[in-house]
Amino acid sequence: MHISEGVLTAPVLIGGAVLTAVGTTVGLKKLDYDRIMTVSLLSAAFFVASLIHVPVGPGSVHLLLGGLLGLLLGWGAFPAIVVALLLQAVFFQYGGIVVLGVNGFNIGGPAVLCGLSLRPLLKGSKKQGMTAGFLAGCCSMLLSALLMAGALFFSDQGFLHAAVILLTSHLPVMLIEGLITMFVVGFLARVQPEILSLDTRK
Amino acid sequence: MPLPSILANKKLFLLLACLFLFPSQGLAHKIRVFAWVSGDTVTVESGFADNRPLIKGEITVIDNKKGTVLLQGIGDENGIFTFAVPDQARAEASDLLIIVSGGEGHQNQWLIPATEYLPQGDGSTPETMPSLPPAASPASSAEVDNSKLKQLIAEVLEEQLAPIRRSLAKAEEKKPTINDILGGIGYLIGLAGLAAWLKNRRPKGQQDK
Repeated sequence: MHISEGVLTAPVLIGGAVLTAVGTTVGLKKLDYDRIMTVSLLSAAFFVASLIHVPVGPGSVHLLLGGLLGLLLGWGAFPAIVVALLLQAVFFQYGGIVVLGVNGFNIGGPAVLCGLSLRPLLKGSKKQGMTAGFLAGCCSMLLSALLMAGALFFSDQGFLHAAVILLTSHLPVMLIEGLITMFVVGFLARVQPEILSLDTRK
Repeated sequence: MPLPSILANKKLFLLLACLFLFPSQGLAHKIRVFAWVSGDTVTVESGFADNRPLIKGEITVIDNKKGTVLLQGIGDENGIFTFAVPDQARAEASDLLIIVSGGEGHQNQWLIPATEYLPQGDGSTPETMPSLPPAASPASSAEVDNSKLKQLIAEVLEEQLAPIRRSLAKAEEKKPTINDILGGIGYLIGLAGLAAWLKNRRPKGQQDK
């Protein structure tokens, strides 16, 4: 899910950096400072989740947990994801510093979008909450894959080719991600409901 | 604060612990490239960091001096791609930059310096050496033999050394270690602490005014 250094052209890189800067600023502004530790822990979970990989066909894909962060943190997911991506670039050489903007937007954008749009469901019944979890995990990854394909397309890396590979290789992991997000949300609803509800007052 | 309550909750703690224990599976998300020269051909081997080959990766060879594309190709099922050193590069003694792309935004590169594929000491000396003493025939033939021998030894050595260099390249490949992971998590928690501190500092600053 991380685009490597040197693949994208300058306009795409700059566009991604601007969008990510905006998203991070909004995220930090909307961040509830009482929840800073939750943000940090989920950011750590995201940081580590990328190491869990699922071999698919010629490539391999890994978990993202973007949907989970979006659901639990709303806009706060954006800075959490960007910081975790920065650390991944530094420690694991996943992605890179120059492409941080594009990767941040590709993963953070869908996470926030899915999180905000699905969060009202969390207030509903348990089933609705679980559905919201599954959809958030699934859709955020789908949108991230599409954004990635778009970024590659604008850098002339062959959209159709990349999009087909990205979507087919991410289908299984989308399901896994959806299921994991669903179970985490269901689990939190049972044992730590305040984590789910804290942010919904906004 | 949510942290103590999370830690106090055994189930949630176990869940988080599971997340942190998974990374022992390693990573497969960075393309590993290794290329070596034997004689006139360059062999490029590409794969993922967990030793699975990169099937049908796109390989681009670039003249590192001028930035022009020398040749392009597609690796085979084992992630192997071989090509002859282009004459153009040989003529200009330019370094070969090999870029391997996985087609989904992953790519990596490997640089072959010109000295690796040019015959040893090719710059100016070997060409002038045989032509310098044309009169002294026994000495010159001995020197030619010497240089041929040198070249032969270099070729054989290169063949012998290739696997060793390959395993060296593999050993040098940086995999995320537990240190990296714990370091990253430490950073994140430290950042949270920093943010909390900055937040708590603000009202005091206002009071001072």
